[in-house]
Amino acid sequence: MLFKKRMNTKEISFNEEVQIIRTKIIHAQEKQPIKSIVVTSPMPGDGKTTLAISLAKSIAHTGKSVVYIDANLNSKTNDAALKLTSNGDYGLSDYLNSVNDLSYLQVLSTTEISNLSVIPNYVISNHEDDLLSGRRFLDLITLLKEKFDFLIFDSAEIVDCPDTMFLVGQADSVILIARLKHTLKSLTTRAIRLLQELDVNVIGWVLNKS
Amino acid sequence: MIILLTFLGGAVIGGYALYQEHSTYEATAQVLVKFPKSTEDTDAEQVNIQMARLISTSSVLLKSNLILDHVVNKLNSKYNYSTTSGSLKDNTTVINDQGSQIISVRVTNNNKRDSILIANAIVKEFQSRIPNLIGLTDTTYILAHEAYEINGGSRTKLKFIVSGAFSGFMLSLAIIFYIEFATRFIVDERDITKKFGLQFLGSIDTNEK
Repeated sequence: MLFKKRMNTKEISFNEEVQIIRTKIIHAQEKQPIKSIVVTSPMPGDGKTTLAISLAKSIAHTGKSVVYIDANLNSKTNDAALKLTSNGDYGLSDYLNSVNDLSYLQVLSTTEISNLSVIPNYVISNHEDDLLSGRRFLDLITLLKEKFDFLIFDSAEIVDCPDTMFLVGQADSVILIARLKHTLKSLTTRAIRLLQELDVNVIGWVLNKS
Repeated sequence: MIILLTFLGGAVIGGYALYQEHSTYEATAQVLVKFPKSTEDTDAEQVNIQMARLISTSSVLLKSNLILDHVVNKLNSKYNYSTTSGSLKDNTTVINDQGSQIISVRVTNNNKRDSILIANAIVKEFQSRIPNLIGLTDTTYILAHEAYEINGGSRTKLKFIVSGAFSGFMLSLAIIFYIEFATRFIVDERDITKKFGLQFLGSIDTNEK
């Protein structure tokens, strides 16, 4: 009985938890093709970036080529978390603003994980710029889908954020993350209703226990 | 809810106080030990010493089983009042100011009438038995006719009621805060899975990362 009790209370590591989520995503692929996933949440601080980066790494470890795109134009990418092995001076905002007529390769960075590439964001941009709803971004998505097996988008919160609402409409699927004792139920309801109205494929949701 | 719980708290605690807490009354009866008449042959100083000893001894005897056992029997047979010598001893105080001929017997009881009854029974029994015990024949007793409330029972009850009302108020605030917290934020997976039917993929702890 003691052994059984110990089994029930076994601690699962963070990586194992991400692997479980990854497995469910791959399982969801059996129902319909999924090449791009947007990780979003009802509120800031729910854990979107951590989940998106971890998922990207976990999927890359399976041998698939993955690109993590920081599409949260409200903030700059934390390069340290991604452990970039090469990075340029330009990010997604620069590319979408057509600064110096950049090629996507100029904003693509590599990481310690050979299958994982990153498009960071180094310039905080205004929602009014509508960068994510522009032609250039749509073309970028099309291009990346040809080059990579998986696109993982880190986004801003979906409630009251037109960029994110547009982004989820362009992706194959969405994962919602909510944080324990932090995410408001009212905003969660609004977020899910929005996703339902946009008729996007929501694979499921993740609980951030921190 | 705040008003309801405050009232309820006050009622519950106040009710408990009314049930449990009793007023305590104190009645005092007295024994006067008279000096023997002095003659030319008696030494005044010796008489004083002797009297001091008699009074001291009487004070001890008043609370002893020699007297109290009989008091218990008398109370039971005559007044149908059931008690024990130990209980009488615990609730009786014998006081004699030095140099005074008066011995005061103070009895405390939750019942006003009973405190008077017991105090008087003790001094009467003492007077009837002390001649045979120590040869003290010249005593008079002064009966108690009144008992006084000594622990401010009604004030204590009010304190309990106020404390109860305050506790009820604080409890209601705690309940409201908890309900507010529990209903405002995501607290477990059922909040989304059950309500919206979204598949639960798993949980992570970003602090562990």
